[in-house]
Amino acid sequence: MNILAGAGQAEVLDTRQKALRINLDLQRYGAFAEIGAGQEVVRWFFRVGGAAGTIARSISAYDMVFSDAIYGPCERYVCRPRLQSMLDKEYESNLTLLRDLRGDRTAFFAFADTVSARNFKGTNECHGWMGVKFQAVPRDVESQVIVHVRMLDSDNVLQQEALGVVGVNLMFAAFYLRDDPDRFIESLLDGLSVDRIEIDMIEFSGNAFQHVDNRVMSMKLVQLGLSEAAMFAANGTVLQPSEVLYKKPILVERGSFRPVTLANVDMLRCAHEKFAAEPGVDSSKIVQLMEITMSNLMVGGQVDFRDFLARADLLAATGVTVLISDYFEYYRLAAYLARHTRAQIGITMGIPSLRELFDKKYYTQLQGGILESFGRLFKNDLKLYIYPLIDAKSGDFTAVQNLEVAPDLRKLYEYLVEQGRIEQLNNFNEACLPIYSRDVLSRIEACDPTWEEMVPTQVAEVIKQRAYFGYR
Amino acid sequence: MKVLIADDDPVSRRLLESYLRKWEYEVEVTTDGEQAWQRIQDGEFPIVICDWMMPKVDGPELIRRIREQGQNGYIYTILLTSKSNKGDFVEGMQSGADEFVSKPFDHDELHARLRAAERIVNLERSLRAAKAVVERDTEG
Repeated sequence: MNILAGAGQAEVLDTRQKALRINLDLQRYGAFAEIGAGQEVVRWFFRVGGAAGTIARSISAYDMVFSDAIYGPCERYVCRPRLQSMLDKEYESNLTLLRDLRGDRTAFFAFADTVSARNFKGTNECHGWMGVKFQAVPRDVESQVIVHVRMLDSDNVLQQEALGVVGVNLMFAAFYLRDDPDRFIESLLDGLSVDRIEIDMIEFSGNAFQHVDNRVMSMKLVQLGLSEAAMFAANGTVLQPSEVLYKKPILVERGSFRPVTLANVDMLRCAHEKFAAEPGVDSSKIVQLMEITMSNLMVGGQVDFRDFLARADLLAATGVTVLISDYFEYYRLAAYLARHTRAQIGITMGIPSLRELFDKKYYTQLQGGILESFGRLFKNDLKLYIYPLIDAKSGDFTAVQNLEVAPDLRKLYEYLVEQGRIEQLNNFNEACLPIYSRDVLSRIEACDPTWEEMVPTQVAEVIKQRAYFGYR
Repeated sequence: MKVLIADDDPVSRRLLESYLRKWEYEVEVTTDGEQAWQRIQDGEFPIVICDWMMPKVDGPELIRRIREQGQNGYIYTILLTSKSNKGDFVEGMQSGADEFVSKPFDHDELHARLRAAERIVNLERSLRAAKAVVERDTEG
């Protein structure tokens, strides 16, 4: 819920009030372009009154020929490039036609969405792209916010309604909540719930958001419950998960990556070699992800943003795509990935994670307990690739072959191993086995330079340059 | 007691090494049959555990070489393999192996077999020592 503090009094605004406030803001003036789910956003501004002071034009180019004639040709209509061309076109039209006339007193905007709402048979993916490109103040250079939404209502009308609310929330946040990122993101679901709308990608750009780190904002989507997962590329670009994962074979390594070590990199390399050799896996299309769960980022219920960015920077240095998720249980991660692809999914993990996977205490909330969780996890030929463990002190070596699981789960474990659903990696670099993130951290703290031998060279450089983890 | 491991599979090799050190054997590790053969010629290894399938020199061939050469003391050999049918067992034993253990191996079973190997090696050593005493007394 959005609360605006003003004159010592907290004011709660609903969608109607937000639209009205924008309409009554004499500076805001612009265009709306909507494709695919009615003109649900602009409708709010027409309904609440005072729209003449806000709406320069509203367009809904449903026909593909019309759409292409206005915004240029495209392969797909519900995609980010189409949204961008709509925003650019409408924003430029505002400036071209109106700048000289009222540019000194108007902060122009263009709002656009392109959406695929539930079809008659209910067979399509219900999602859409939505954005606002605007001047924060008159004569300013542009700023922009783009989101990707998934509509979860089972009814087309409800989806349209929810979309309208999100659109108003987005515009309101862009105009009035720019300085409060938490409230900005939280407010996107004002008047809605996570059962109706999921926002799995948000990207800020332009003058008003120079100091916004999109990776942090992506993580906040997950932290604040607007999405269960968010993704960004090595260069920091925010990614929309379904566009990255769609129909691709996916290999995931979960970890804390605090910091990413040579062992982490070796684990993914080993698993990739095995995964790429699996029948049916097109090795050229494999998407590799390093995943950090929210529980791995939280300390005492709070996220340390500096620590998060340090980890993200170091993962970026290895060139890997990062997934932030709220899927503590592996079967939930598997279900999420399977939603995006029918191709094979591989998860690589160390022995400690495999041991936890067979701990029944994690499945008490499932009626079918551990059997249900494994039924969900190993759907669609999902396979686990296990990196061995060596105890640095005792020298004890643990692999799939000698992992001890509870006696009543032994047969199940053996079955999964025999079926090849749990595979021991045997192509590891032995020198990497004794490397643990916690040792790297303690050596950094102790100013012991041997930590540099435990992480990739580029990671060591970034740690030193930016004095991460107490390096001095 | 010194044990030589010959296995090209890093997981199996590491597992064996880890267990044997925990059981307080003196362990040396090689990654193929040729390397193992070199070490056997250079040093004294009363027990050899070798994988069947290895590059250059496989397990049965390594054991045949050990038996043909005839070392100073007896070398107890354990052939470790994922092969498990009767024909493989016969072939492995005919090469001169003393034990045939299927992979994945049970560590308790392997430990028991190693203790048996130690008993036999120690027995052979004491027999050899007794024989040497008898021969010396006879010559004297």
